[in-house]
Amino acid sequence: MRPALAYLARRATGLAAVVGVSSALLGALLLFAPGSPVAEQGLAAWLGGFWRGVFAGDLGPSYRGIPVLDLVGRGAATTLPIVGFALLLSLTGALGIVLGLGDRVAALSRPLRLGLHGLSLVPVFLLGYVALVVFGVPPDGPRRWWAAVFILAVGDGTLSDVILGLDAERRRLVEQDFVHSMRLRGLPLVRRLAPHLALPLAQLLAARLVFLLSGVLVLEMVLGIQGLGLMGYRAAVKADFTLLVAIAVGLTGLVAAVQLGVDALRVAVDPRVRKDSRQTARGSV
Amino acid sequence: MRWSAAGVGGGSVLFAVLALRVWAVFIDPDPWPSDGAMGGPSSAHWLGTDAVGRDLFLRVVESTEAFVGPGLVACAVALLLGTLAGAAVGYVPDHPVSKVLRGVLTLLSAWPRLVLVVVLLAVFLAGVSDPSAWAPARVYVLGALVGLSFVPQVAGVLSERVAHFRRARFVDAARAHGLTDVAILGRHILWANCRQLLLRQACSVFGAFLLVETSLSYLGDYGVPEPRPSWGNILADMRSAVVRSGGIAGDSGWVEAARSGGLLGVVVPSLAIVATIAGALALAEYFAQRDAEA
Amino acid sequence: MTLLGLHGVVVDGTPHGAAAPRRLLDGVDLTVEAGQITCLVGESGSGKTLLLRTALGISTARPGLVGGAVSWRGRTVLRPGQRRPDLRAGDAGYVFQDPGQALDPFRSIGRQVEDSVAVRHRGLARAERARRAEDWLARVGLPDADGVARLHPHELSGGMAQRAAIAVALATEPELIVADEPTTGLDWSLRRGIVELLEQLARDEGAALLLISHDLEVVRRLADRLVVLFGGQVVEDGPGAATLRPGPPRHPYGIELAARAEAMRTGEPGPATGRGATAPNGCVFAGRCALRSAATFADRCATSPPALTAVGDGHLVRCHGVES
Repeated sequence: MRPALAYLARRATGLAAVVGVSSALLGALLLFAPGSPVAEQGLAAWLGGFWRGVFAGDLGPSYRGIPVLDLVGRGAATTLPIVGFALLLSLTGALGIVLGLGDRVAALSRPLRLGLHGLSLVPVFLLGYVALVVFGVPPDGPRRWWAAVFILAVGDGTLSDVILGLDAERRRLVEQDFVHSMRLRGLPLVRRLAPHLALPLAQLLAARLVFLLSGVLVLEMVLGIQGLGLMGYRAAVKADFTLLVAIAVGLTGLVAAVQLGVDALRVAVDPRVRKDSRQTARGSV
Repeated sequence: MRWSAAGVGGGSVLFAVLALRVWAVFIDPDPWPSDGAMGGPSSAHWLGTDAVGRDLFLRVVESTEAFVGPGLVACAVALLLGTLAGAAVGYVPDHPVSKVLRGVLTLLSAWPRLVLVVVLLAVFLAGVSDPSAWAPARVYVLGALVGLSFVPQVAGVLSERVAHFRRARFVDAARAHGLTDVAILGRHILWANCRQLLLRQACSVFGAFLLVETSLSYLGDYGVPEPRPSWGNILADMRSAVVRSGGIAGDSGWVEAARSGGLLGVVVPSLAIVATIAGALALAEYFAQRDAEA
Repeated sequence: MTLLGLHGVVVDGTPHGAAAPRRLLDGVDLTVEAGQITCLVGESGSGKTLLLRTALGISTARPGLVGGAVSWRGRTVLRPGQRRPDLRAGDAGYVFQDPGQALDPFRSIGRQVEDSVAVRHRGLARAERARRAEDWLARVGLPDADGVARLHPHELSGGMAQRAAIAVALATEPELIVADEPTTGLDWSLRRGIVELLEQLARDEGAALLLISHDLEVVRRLADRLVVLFGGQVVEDGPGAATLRPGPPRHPYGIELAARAEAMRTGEPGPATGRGATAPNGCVFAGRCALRSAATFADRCATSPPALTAVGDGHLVRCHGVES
C-alpha cells in the first residue's frame, strides 16, 4: 500500500506546484495591466497576499461589493454540477453506443453516424442559441438547466470524441491475448474488462473537461446562466482582476484535482502502480 | 491521387469562404438602409434586412473579414511557435531548453482556451493606453492569442513525430554524410514527414478561431465592434428581435418569422458558421488521411 | 477419435500494410486425435498461428474464415462467416506465445487460475477453489505456489509467467490444449522445461496437445504426428517417425527443416536454400525447392499445384516428386 500512497503524494505535490506556478504566471501577466493589484503591489507581494487570502477564506470585495470568494463559491455551485452532469451524460451515451453496438459502431449506418457526429460538431454556442431562439427555452428553471447539460454533453465534438475514444480503446482491448483467453474460457467479459476500460475512459473525460470549461463559459453567456463563466467574463470586462484571477486559478485547481482523481483511480485499479514493481519474484524456472 | 470526399468537401467550403472574403473587399462598407427594418427577402435585399435596416446578405458576406485574415494569423502563430517548440522538444528532448519548454507547454495546456484568451485579452486591453483605438485591430490580436493557445497542442503532436523520426536510422546515416542537424530537421523530418500533420493542425486552428471570434462577437465586448459585421453579432442582433416575440416557436410562428426576415437572420449565419467549421474539420480530416497513408 | 477437425479451411485476411485482403490459408485439412500429441510446424508467415486462432474464434483477421469448416467431435462448430465456434467454454485451452500478454495484468495469478477452475467446477467454495488453484501452480513447477498466487503477472519472470499461463489454460481441464510457440519468447535454457511440462500435463490429463512451432528441434521429441505448413497449405502430414526422417519420400521443405535441425544440433552448416523463380500457378514451394532443378518433372512444378499424395501409412506429401 505504501508505494501507492507515495505515488499519489508525489502526484499531488506536482499538481499543486502546477496550480501555484500558474497563479504566479498569471500574476506576472497582470504586471502589464496598469491599475491591477499586481502592478501596484509587485508580483511577490501580491502572490503572497493572494494565497494567504485563499487559505484564510477572504480575498476582499469584488467590483460588485460582494466578497470575491463568495461570488466564486456561488458561481462554482452553479457551473460545476452542469459540467459534471454533462460529462456523465456524455459517458453514459457513449458507453451505451459502444458497448451496445460493439464491432458495429464502425459500420453504423452512415446517415445516423453523420447525424450524431454532425450534431456533436456544432459549437456549443450555436446549440445554445438554437435552444434559445428556436425552441424557446425559457430564461430560467430546470428546462434551461437540462438544455445546458445536454448541449455540453453533445456539442463541440464532445460526444463524438468520447464515442470514438471509447471505441478505439475497446478495439485495442479486445485484440489482447488475455481477452482471447477469457473468451475461450467463457468468462464474463464486461465485468472483467471494466477496470481495463475505466482508466482510459477517466483519462478521456479528464482531457475533455478542459474543453467543457471553455464551452460552459460561452453557454452560460448565451443562456444567461449566472455561473462561473459569465462571472469571469464580466470580471474581465470590468477589469476586476482579483475576481478574474480567483476564477482562473480556481479552474486550474479543478483540472488538477480531476487529474489527481484519475491518478487515484489508476492506483486503485492497476497493480503495477500499487506494488513496487522492482519486487520481481526470484527464481529461474 | 485518389479522390477524397473530405478533401473536396472541406476544400470547396473553405474556397467559397475565401471567395466571399475577396468579394467583401469590394463591398461598399455599411450600406445604409433604403428600406424599412426587418424586411423580408426582396430583389434589392436578397436575404432581407436586419433590425436596423441594413442589407443582411451583404453583412453576411462582409463578416468574412472578421475571421479569414485573423484566422490565418492564428494559424501562422500556432504553426510557427508550435513548430519551433515541437521541433526542439522532439529533436533534443534532454536539452534544458526543451525541459523548460515542456513545462511551459504543460502549464499552457491546462487552461480552457476561452478562459486563456479572455484573460489575455483583458490584460492586453488594460495595458494599452487607448483600448478603443485598438477596436478594429482587436480581431487580429484575438487571432494571435488563439494561435498562442494552440501552441501546446501543435508542439505536442509535432514533438512526438519528430522524436519518432529522430530515432530512425536515416538520421545517423545523414549525419555521417555530413548534413547538419538543422538540415536534417528542416528538410528530411519536418518537410518530408510532418507537412500533412502541420496542415491538419492549421485547419483545426482555423475552425477553432472562427468559433472563438463568433462567440466573442456574439457577447459583444471583445469581438468585432459594431457596426462592423460578424456572424456572431448578426446572431446577437437577431436574437433580441426574435426572442422578444417569444422565439420562432412562439407566438409569431415560422411563417411570420420568415416573412419578417428574422428567421433568415438566425438561420443563415448559423449555417455559415457550421458549414465553415465543418469544412475546416473536413479538410483537417483529409490531411490526416494523407498523413496516415505516408 | 477425432477431436478437432479442420476441413478445407480457407482464410482471407489483410496482413499488416497490405491494401486488400489476401488468401492466407488455402484449403487446409487438419485433424487432432484425442489424447495424441500433434505438432504443427512452419516458418513465420506460413499461417500456423492464424489457422488455430481462426478455428477457435480468437483471430483478428478480416474477413477470416471464408471457406471450409471446423468440427469438434464430428459436429460442425464453425462455418464461413461465423466468428466464434460453437464450443463449450473450457473445452479448448490455449497457451499463448507471450505470457505477458496472455495474463490479465490487473488480476493476481491465483485469481486467474481460480477463474479457470470455476469454469469446470461451478459452485465451488472460494477456499476450495483457491486450494485447487494452488495445486495447479505447484503442478506446473512453480515453487512457493502460495506466494506466487498472490503475485501479479508483472512480478514474474518470463519462465515463471509462462508456467503460470499454462496453469491458467489447463485448470479448465480442457480436452485439447493448443500451445502456440510457447517457448519462442523464452531463454534457450528454459525451453525444454516448458515443452516437457506440456507433454507431461497433457499425458496426465489425457488431453490432446497441438503444439505449434517453427523450431523442429523442439517438436522432434514429442510428435505423435507432424504436420508441415508452407505458404498457407499443408505440404506434409504424417506420423512422427516417418516425418522426421531426413530422407525421402518426403516433402522437400520437410527435408530442409529436418536437415537444418540436425545441423543445429551437430554444429555443421545447414542445407542451402534453393533459389528459383516462384511459380504463381504451380507449387507454392517451387521458388525454394532444391529438388526441382534436378528433376525431370520441373516443368510440372511451375505449372500445376500438386495434391496431397499418400506415400505410406497415414503419411501424406504434397509434391510432384513423390507422385508416381
